[in-house]
Amino acid sequence: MTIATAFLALLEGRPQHGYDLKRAYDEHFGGDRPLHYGQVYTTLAKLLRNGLVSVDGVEGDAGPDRKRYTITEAGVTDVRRWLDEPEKPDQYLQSALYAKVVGALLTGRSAAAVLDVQREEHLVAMRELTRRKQSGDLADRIICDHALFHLDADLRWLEHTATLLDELAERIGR
Amino acid sequence: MNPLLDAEGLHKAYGPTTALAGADLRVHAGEIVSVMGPSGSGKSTLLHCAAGLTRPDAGHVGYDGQELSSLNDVKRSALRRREFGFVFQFGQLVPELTALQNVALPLRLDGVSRRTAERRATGLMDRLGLADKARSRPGELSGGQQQRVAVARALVTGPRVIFADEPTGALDSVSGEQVMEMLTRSAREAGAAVVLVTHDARVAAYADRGIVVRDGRSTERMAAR
Amino acid sequence: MRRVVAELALGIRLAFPSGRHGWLRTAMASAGVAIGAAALLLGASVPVMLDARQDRMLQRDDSVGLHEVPPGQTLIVASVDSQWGSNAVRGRLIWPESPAAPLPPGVPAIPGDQQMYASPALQAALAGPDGDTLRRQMPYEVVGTIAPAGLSGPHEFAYYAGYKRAEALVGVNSWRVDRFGYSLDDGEPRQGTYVVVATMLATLLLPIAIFIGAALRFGADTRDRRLAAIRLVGADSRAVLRIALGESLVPAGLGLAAGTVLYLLVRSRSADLRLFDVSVFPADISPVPVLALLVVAIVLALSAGLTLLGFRGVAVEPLGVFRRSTTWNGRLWWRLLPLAASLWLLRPVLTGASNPDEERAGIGVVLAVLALIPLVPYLVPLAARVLPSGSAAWQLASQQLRQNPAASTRAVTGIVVAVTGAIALHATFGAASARREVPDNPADPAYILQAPGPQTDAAMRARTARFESVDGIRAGTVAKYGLYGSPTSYASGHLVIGDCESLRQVATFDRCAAGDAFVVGDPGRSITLDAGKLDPAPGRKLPIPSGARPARLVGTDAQNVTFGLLLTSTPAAVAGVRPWFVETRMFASEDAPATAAGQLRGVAAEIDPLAMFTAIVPEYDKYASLRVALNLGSAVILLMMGVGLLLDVASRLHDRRRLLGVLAAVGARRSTVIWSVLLQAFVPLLAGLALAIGAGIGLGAVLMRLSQVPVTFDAAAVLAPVAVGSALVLATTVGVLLPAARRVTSTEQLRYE
Repeated sequence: MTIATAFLALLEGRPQHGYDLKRAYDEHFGGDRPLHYGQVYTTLAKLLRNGLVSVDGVEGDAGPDRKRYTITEAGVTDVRRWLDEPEKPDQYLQSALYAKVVGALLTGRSAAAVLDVQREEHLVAMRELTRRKQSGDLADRIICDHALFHLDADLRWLEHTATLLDELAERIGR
Repeated sequence: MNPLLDAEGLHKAYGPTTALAGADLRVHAGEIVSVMGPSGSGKSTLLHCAAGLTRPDAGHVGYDGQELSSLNDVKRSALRRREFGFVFQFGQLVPELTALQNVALPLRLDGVSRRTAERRATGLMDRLGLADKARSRPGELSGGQQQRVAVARALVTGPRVIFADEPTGALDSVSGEQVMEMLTRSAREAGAAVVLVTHDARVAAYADRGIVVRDGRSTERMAAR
Repeated sequence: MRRVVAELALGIRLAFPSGRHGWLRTAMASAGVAIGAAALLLGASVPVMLDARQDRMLQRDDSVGLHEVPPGQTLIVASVDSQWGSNAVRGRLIWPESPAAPLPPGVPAIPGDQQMYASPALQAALAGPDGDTLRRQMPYEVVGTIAPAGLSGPHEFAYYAGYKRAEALVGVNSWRVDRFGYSLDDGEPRQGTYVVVATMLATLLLPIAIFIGAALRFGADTRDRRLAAIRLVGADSRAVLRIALGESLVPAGLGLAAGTVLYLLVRSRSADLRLFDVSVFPADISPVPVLALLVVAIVLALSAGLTLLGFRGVAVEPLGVFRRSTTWNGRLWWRLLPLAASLWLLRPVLTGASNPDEERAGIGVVLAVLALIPLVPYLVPLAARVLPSGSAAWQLASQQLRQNPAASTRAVTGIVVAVTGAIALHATFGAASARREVPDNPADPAYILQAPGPQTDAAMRARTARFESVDGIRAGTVAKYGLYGSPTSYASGHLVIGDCESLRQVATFDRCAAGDAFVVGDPGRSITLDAGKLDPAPGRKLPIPSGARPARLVGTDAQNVTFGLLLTSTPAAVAGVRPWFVETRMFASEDAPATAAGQLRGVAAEIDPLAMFTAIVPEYDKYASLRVALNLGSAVILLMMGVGLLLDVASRLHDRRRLLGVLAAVGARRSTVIWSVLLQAFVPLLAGLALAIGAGIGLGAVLMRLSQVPVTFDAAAVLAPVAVGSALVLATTVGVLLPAARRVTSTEQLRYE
C-alpha cells in the first residue's frame, strides 16, 4: 500500500486538510514511522496532478497547510480497485492486509469481504502449490511445504481477524 | 450442468443453539469441494445435512434429482451404502472386525456374498497399498493407517460422493498428508466427488474449490445474496 | 433375505470380540443363559420323571381294596411299611400259594421263608452305621436285590420278604393278589407344598432372567457406539436391530449348549438328589420333546427380547447413540397394580378362609414376588431424596440415583427378589421345624404300637418293659376291646385293660390301685363286647364292677370315645377273648436320642412285623432337603446377583470414567469420588433389602398359613439371607470395585479423551 492510496481512503470519509491527513495516517497506518511534511505535500501534489483529489477551499493564509482536499470520482474508483484487488500472497502480507482492513472499515466497506477475497486468493495459491507438490519430487515438496505453511499462517491470521472485525470497527469509528 | 448434490437454504438448530442459518452447498460430479470455517461454525452440520445424516429444520437437499428429506430411513441407508462414502475423524471403524472385514462391511450390508465382498475389498486394499494390513484389527493400526482403511471402506462400493469430516483431525501432519493424498487421488481416479470438511487450510488445499461457513452461513450463500 | 442373513452373521461375528471387555460380556451372558436353560430343561423333565416314577409305582401296586381275590395262582401279601429316619420304607411280606404265583416287578423269584430281596439303598443302610437297629425291623436274610423296575427311585428303601406266617393271617393283616399293577390311589400332596415349590421356582428363575438381562446390558454402550458406526456405513435402523439380535444369538447359543451340558451333569448326579422323599433314576430324566423345544424357544426369545428391550428409548443413529432422556416420573400407582392383584389373589389366605384355593394362592405368591420389581426403582429416588444431603460424595451419588433410578436399580432388583424369597421360605421352614417335636394333642403319645393277638397282664407288662429299654422312652401297654353299643348311635365305647401306670396314659382319675375299675361316660349297668368282624355283633356281656369310679379319657380318644370301662386286671370273663389289639403307647422325653424312633420300630417288628406302628410326631425334618436346596439355590443366586451388580457398577464406572477423572483432576479427594461410586451401589441395595425384609416377612406369613403352621418369625431366619446378601455384595464391591475405581480416578484417564 502506498501513502497515496492511504490518503485517498482517508479522504473518502470526508474532506480534510493536509495536516489532518498526516495525523490520521500516523494514527492508522504509520506505526512507529510518522510521515514528515515533505512526504505529505509531494503525495498530495501527485494526487492533484492525477486528478484523484481536488482542492475545495483555502482558509486564511494561503499555504499548503490551509488547503482542504476532497476526493474525486476517479479517486473513489482507485480506492475501490485497491480494496477489491487481493494482495499477492507473500510473507509481508499482514501489514498490507491490515491496512486494507482498516481502509475498508474507514470507508464503510465490508472488511469481511476483503478478508474473504484474500482467503480465496490464498487458497488458490495453496491449491496450486499442493498440485505442484503432488507431482514434484521431494525437494519440490519441501519448498512447496514452506510456502504452504506460511500461507496457512496467513490464513489463520485472516480467520482470527475476521472474528475480531466488529471490535476493530468500533475502535476505528470512535 | 446440474450439480450432483445441491443443498440450499439449510437451517438447523439444536435446542437454543443455531448450527446452520441458511447455508448452501453445491457439488458437481467428480469435484472436490472443501468446506472451511472456524470450529462451531456449522460446517460439520452442513455435511451431516447434505449426506442425509441429519434432517435440516428448513431448506432442502437434492441428490441426483431426489429430495433427501423425503426419503425414509431405509432409502437413506441404502443411499449411504451405495452412493456415499464416509471418512470421519475417528470412531468409524468397527474394532471387532479386521481391516479387511471393515472394508468389506458396506458390501456385506448390501447383501453381497462374503467371498465377493472380501475379494473386492482385497483388490482395493492392494491398490491402496494396504494389503499387509488386511488381517489387522483397528486397535493394532496407527491413526493414519486406520484413516486409510476408512478411506478404502468409503471407496469400496464405488460411491459418487465421499463425505470427509476432518479426516486428518487426529493425525500428525505427515500422516495427514498421506491420507489426503490417498483420498483425493483415489477419489479422482474413481470419479467420486468429495465434500471435505476441515478447519485446516493445508487440507482444504487438496480441493478443487472451497466454501467457507461462518455463523451457520456459507460463502456460496453470501455470494448469491 | 441374503442381507438379513449377512446382518445376523455380522452380529454373530461381533459377539466374538478381541477385547477383554467384550469376552467378559459374552461369557457372563452365556453363563446366565446356561443356568437358566439348565433349570428350564430340568423343569421340562419333571413330567417325564414323575410319569416314569408313577408308572413303576403303578406296575407294582398290590392294593386290591375291598375286593377279595379267591385263592388260586395267587400270592399272599402283607404290608409292613415303615420309616427309617427321613426314608419311608416300603416293606412287603409275601408267600406264594402256587408255583405260578405272580412275581413283584424287579424281583426275580419268590424269596424263601425269612429271606428277602432288598433295594440297594436299604442294603446300603443295613450295612451302614446303625444298620443293626434297622435290621431289627427286617431280620431277614438278603438273598438278592430289587431291580430298578421295582423301585420308585434309586433311594427308595424297599424289600420283599418271604414270610410263611402270612398264610395264616389272610383277611386280618394280609391279602391275596393274582397280579401286580392295581390302580393306585395317589395321595393328595400336602397342602402348601406346591405353593412352596412355586415360590422357590419364582425365587430362583426370576433372578436368572434378570441376570441374563444384566449380562446382556454389560458393555451395551460400547455395542451401541459400534452399531452407530455400522449405521454410518449404510445399515438402516432395522438392520442394526438384526445385527444386535445376531449378537445376542451367540450367548443364547453358547448358553444353550453349556446349559445342556450342565443339565446332563445334574442328570448324571440325579441319583444322589432327593426332594420330598422322591428320588429318581438318571434314566427317568429326559425332557418332554415338545417342552425341550419350548425351552430352546424360550431361551432364544428371552435373550432376543431382552436385547430388544435394551433398545427401548435408545436411537442408534449414524452420528451416534441418542438416549431419549425421559425425565423420571415416579408415579406410583401403576407400580402398585401387581401388588394389589397379588393381595387380591391371596385374600382368602390372609383372611384365614378355611380351605383356600391352592392354585390361586400360588399365583398370588409368585405375583407378589414379581410385584417387587417395579417397586424397587420407585424406592431408590425416594431414598435418595429422603436421606440428608451432606457430603459432596453423597451429593454426586444422589443426583445420579435420582436422575436414572432404573439404571441404578436393575442389578439390585434381582437381589431383592432373591432375598425376599429366601426370607419367606427360611421363615416358613423355621416355623415348620419348630413345631415338629410336639404332637397335635399334647396328651397323645409320640408313638403307638397296635398289635393283634391274645393278651395277658404279664405279657403286657413285659412288652412295656421292652419299649422302655430304649433311652428316653416311657411306655405303657393296654388291651383294647370294642364295645357293642346301639347300632343306630354313633357313640363308640372301649373296654381298656392295663396296669395303673398304663391306664394313666389313657385317662385321668383320682387314684389307682390294682383291682380298681373306672367308668367313662355312662355305660349303664353292664357292657357288651363287640364280637363282629366288620359289622358290629353282640358278644360277651360284662357287668360294671360295683366299686367303679368315674374317669375321663385324654388325648384324641376323649373326642372319639363316649363311654367305656377301664380295668386294672383282666377279668376271667374276658381272658379267652382276643382284644381288638394290644396297644403300647410311647412317650419320648426331651433328651430322647434322634434314633429312638428307629429303635422303637425295631422292637415293634420283633414283637410282630405285622403290628401297626404309628408315629404321631414326625420322625424327621420334612423340610430339611428343601432347606438345603434353598440354601444352595439362594447362595448361587445371590452370588450371581453380586456379580451382576458388579458388572453394572463397573460398566457405569467405565462410562463415567472421564467425569471421574476430571473430578480427580480438579482436586476432588479420591475418597470423595470412591465414596460416591460406592454410595451409588449401596443405597439402592439397602433400600432394596429393606423392601425385601418387609415383603419376605409378609410372604412368609402367607406360606405359613398355607402350610398350616402357626405364624412365627425367627430373627435368624429373616436376617440370615439379608446378611449373606449384603456380605456378598460388600465383598464383591469392595474387593473388585475399589481397585477399579482407583484406576479410573487417576488423572491418567484424561489422556485418552
